Amino acid sequence: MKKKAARDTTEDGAQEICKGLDLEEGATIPLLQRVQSRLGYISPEALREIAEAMGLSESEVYGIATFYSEFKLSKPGRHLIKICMGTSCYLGGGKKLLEHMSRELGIKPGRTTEDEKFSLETVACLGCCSKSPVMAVDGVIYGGLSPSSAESILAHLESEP
Amino acid sequence: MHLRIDDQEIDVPPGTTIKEAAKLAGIKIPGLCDHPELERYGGCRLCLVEVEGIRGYPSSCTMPVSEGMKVRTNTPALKSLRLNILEMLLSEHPCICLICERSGMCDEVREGMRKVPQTMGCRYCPKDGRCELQEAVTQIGLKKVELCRIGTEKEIIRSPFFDRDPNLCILCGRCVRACADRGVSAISFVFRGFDTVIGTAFEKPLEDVGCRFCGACVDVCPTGALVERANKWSGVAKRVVETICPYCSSNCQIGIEVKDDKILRTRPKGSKLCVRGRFGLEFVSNQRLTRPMILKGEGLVEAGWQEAMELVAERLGGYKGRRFAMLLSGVLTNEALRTAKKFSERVMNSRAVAEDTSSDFSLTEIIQGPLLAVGDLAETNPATELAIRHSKPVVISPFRTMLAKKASVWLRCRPGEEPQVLEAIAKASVQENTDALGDTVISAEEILKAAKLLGKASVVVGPDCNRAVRKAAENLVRVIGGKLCVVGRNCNSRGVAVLGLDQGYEETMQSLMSGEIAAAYIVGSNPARSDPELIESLSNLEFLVVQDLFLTETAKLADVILPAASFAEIEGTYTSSDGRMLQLMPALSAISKSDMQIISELCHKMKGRLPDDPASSRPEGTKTWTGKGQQSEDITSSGSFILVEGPCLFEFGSGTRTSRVRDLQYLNKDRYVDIHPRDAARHKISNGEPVSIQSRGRSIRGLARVSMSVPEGVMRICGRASRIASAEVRRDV
Amino acid sequence: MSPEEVIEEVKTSGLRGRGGAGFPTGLKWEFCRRSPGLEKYLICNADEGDPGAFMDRSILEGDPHAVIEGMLIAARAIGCTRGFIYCRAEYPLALKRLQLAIDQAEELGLLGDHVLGSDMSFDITIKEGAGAFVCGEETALMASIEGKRGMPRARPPFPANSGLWGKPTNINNVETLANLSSIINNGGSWYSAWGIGRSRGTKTLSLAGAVRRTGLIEVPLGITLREIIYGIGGGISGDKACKGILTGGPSGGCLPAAFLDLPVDYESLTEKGSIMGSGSMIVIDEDTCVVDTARFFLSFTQSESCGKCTPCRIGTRQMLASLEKITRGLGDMTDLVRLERIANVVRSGSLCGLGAGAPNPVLTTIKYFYEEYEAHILQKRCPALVCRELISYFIDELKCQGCGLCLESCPVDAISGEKGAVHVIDQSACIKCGACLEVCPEKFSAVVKGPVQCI
Ligand SMILES: Cc1cc2nc3c(=O)[nH]c(=O)nc-3n(C[C@H](O)[C@H](O)[C@H](O)COP(=O)(O)O)c2cc1C
Ligand code: SF4
Ligand code: FES
Repeated sequence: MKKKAARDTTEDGAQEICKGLDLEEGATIPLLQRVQSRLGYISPEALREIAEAMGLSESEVYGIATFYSEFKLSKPGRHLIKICMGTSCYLGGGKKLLEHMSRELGIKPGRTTEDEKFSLETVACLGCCSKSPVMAVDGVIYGGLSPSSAESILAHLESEP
Repeated sequence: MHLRIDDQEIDVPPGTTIKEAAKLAGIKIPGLCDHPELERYGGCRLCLVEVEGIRGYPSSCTMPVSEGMKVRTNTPALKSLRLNILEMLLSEHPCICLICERSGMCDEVREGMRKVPQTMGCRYCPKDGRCELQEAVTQIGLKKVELCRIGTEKEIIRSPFFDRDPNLCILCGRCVRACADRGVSAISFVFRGFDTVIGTAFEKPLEDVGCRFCGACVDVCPTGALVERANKWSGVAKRVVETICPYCSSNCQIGIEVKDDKILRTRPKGSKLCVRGRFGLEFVSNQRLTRPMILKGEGLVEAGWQEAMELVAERLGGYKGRRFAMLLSGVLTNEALRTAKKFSERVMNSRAVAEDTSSDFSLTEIIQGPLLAVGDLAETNPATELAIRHSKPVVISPFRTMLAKKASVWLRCRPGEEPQVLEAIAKASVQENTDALGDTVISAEEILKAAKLLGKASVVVGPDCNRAVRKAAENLVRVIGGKLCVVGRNCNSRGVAVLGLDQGYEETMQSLMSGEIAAAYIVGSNPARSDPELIESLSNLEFLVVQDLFLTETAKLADVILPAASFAEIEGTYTSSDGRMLQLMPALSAISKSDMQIISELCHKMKGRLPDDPASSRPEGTKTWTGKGQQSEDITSSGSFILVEGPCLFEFGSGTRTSRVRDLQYLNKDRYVDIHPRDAARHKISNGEPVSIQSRGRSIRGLARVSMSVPEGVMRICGRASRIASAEVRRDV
Repeated sequence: MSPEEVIEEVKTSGLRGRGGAGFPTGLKWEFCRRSPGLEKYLICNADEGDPGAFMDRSILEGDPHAVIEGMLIAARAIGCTRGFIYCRAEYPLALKRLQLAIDQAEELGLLGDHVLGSDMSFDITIKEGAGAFVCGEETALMASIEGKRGMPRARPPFPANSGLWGKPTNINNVETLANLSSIINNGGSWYSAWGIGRSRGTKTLSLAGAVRRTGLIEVPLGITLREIIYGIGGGISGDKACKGILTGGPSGGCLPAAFLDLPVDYESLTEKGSIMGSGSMIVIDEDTCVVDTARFFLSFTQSESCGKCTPCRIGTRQMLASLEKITRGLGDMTDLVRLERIANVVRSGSLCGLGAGAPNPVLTTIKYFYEEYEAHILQKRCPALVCRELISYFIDELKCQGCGLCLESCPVDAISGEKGAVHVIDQSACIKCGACLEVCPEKFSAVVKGPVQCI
């Protein structure tokens, strides 16, 4: 069941993803997760490498990557804003929050602003239902938000160079 | 197992699904995702049934039977579920005609047409009349689609040979499963839920994701989503002619669908076709020669049969004996080969030879036992490769071939080391030592493991292997007491071997190169294309007759060209590797005379004429024939790479026929050069970049394909015949 | 205790799966134990995908050892050699603490070869989910661990016979596993002392929505909804009336206030068309529109459908289209009939639990809140004033003091008015975000939300 992967690989920053990892059957998703956490998304080159390492076809790996909403197949913005659309947050004003942020940034959820600064996403539940509505910016969770308090968080990031 | 389905009692073997059992009982349960040759799926949900004691409605295509089961297939609840589920499918499908009450009567009144170039309604669907969705609608009895149409219009995806119209796709996943079954998985489900489509990585074209264009996906598609592009709109065939694929020695049976004396498409008949059998028969109606041609002055001019035959008979009469050579080919029928042999031996007092051979073996038998395989069978003989893949052979190959991926042990030697590895296995299986390995890159451990697996194994040697490999395999087989299976190159390789025509090919070539031969008669082969170094000798001949379908590179050197009929126009037989006679059936009316007919007419004409005086002069400047694939000594590379020209699925043999199939030609437009990632990095070559290779004074251009399928220090180009050479590589700028 | 005795004890406890389906745990183990095969796998389902539920998370973060202990007990009872915890990637803290707990257990010899010197060997690998709700479903979860697209497959074969990589596999939920050590320590009958009927023991619920006190609660099964809402939850916040309660998450149902005395147990909830599910309880008051809530739940399940089977892939989409029509005030009664028709087909025709459960919120709301659907369709009115196309904001000219706060807050400049003068909302430009209502000083309360007709 275990295949050892000894690889130092080609091309871009996707290099070395497979180095030193026990390529057990089923390692495709962990590999994708590694790439995603290093590059922020799954580049075509990285996908090719994973396919080679796992002995799968590129299309199979692409099929897997597109099934899971965690994986991005194009380059995301520098800041990732996730707005919780779990039941609690939805009922507690999450929808309004989302609409507000969407308007502020001028993008629909799932998109990235033109200056590649912000990506906006929704998430099913961040597990902070008692603090609804909740939003996560680059992994930091903010709860009990109103559109205006969320806006000030955004403004803070915006002021960065 | 005994069970009851509706009111019928039936006994079926365990493991049967309810749907299969029902079919045996004569009850047809609808269903669109299920396919007898594919893994079970259970996605469309049209085959739901009720089973006593089980909650809900299980899908009969996935549910195995159990003892005493009581199944109902047609209760009102089930009928309503099916109607509704089918209605859902159609709410995504441009389907006006399916439920139109005048369906089938609207040839003139073109209803349901839209102002977009897209299928809308069955009348405008290429699968009209052969569509399983149409069948399901009739069977389930859907009359009305109340649900609103949902989904967005998607663009048609065009590929070589076939088109995919995602708007007609019902996501049954048959194509995905068929592709996985072939070990290719060029396509996959991508995205999720309602957005799911069937596609490729980053929407790349199929040819860039490893598609081998076998057409298995098209064959299993129940709707018009996947259709062949050739004759897309020509409708249903008038008749189907069952015959044999004229390419490799796998001898797949094919059904040629014919309409108006034209091949509409070919379908597999109980075999798993590759691209050549499925889509590669277009050559029979492309650039064919219809009349004989004679060299007059500087050029070839058309002539009548009478004149051409007279000329051939007269001129050949002057070269009886050793100055004459007859070159045949494994693409010819037994009948043609036999007549040619007779002609050569009895009339010309000379020998006929063909560069092809095959040993006598039965594929179905050898796959029962242990197997060792050498050569890239997936490129040369795809159907044979598919058959032996499942028995997990030991594979000797420098390349990660389709077969190597499925190997139980993959002995990844360096190019040219194959004979040594075979020898080492032979030694290891008697003496348990691995001295014979020498300095190959294979470990002793691997050899011992392989040797252990290979008691009495059959050794399969692909047609791309050279003589040294064949000999080493022969020796191994003697030692382990197995069976030698030399796989033939062409559809009638075995016929060539049975008639003994495979004997003496090298000697004949030798005489040709040395100028001993002054006249030749070449039937169905194109040496000027496959071995350009022969061109000079061929043009030096005093008289050359070429008999072929096309004006080939060789034919252009001829004094007389005789046009022959193709496999699709004649009756005749091929011999399979296990000795069966396979019958060819004419599908089209003949464009010309058959090979057999021409040669036997010639026999009649020339009978009784006496052989001429054999004394004659040799031209100066003799060369020696080195033969193909035997330059392995060259590997002591002076260059920086070992260059291997590997066989290629899309270019069969000399490429004479495949170059006359438009989409195959398209697939061959770029010559790919496989190169290991580490080498690529060292030479700063990235995937898809053009490179040029200097090898033995030749310069070969190609596109780099960075891949671990080749070992480090080796480059492989897909091309004619199999050769090994050393090479320098550089980037093209 | 021998493995058989362990299974017997768990059977006595009456413990049922806390992951949703409520299958008796002891029985499930027995199937897997009896299934032939040397290698067997145990999976802890920590995918907790129900939006609005976080009991598994709190166990994983608060007491990961309880889960590992439970897995060891299960592994011993079934004869598993290898364990996996499939945990959502959205729970980074839980993942960290789980890994820490596993490392500690390994150090103590509780995991690894020869656990505590016995002949049992067991190790645990954490597998991170990648964002697909359907992967909580057993067969999809296994596909995901195998590294494939997480698409469910038809059963049989059942995981107990052919699961992960074709080996017999047992899957249990986090909470189920966390209950085990106290059951084994105190005995099965100790545990079964709680509960009613065939639902024994306690269940953790996540109480949220319009109650005063929200959070996780552990209650004995059989407690009534009223005790939960008015006892533990402290009643409805803002002293509004309780309209109903959503149990079981997006595959669950919406029960009206009339059922407040219903005991919370697997059978009673199912009988009313809802489910226990993972134990999410969301209380709603008059300000919640049930049609919109059904639409919300459905949009969740619809977007999480894996796309394999027709009823779920297309059916939920069709249902969503109908519901959207209705919440926009564009529906007619045939839409409602069609909605119900498709809902029933999706429920009976789908391949897995996701599709089968998706229509529940719709069907229960149609059943218990029919008049609310009628109001949306016939009167184009949203009684809870939630559905945006059916409401409007306007400024009461008698109350407006012209402070201008609303004018500033409006993102689309739909409000006009001079400082000190009455402000007016241009209804054609208004996007009904409600910003003006929020900023209008309470002492004025000039912005009013009402049905469209009241303009
Ligand atoms: C769509 C769907 C999602 C599910 N999600 C979860 C989940 O997040 N966590 C969980 O424990 N069970 C989930 N389940 C239930 C599991 O399939 C399974 O019944 C459970 O893990 C079995 O464990 P138990 O017997 O301990 O409850 C889900 C089921 C379905 C159909
Ligand atoms: S019910 Fe939905 S999630 Fe389940 S198999 Fe069908 S499409 Fe997939
Ligand atoms: S044929 Fe059984 S589900 Fe499609």
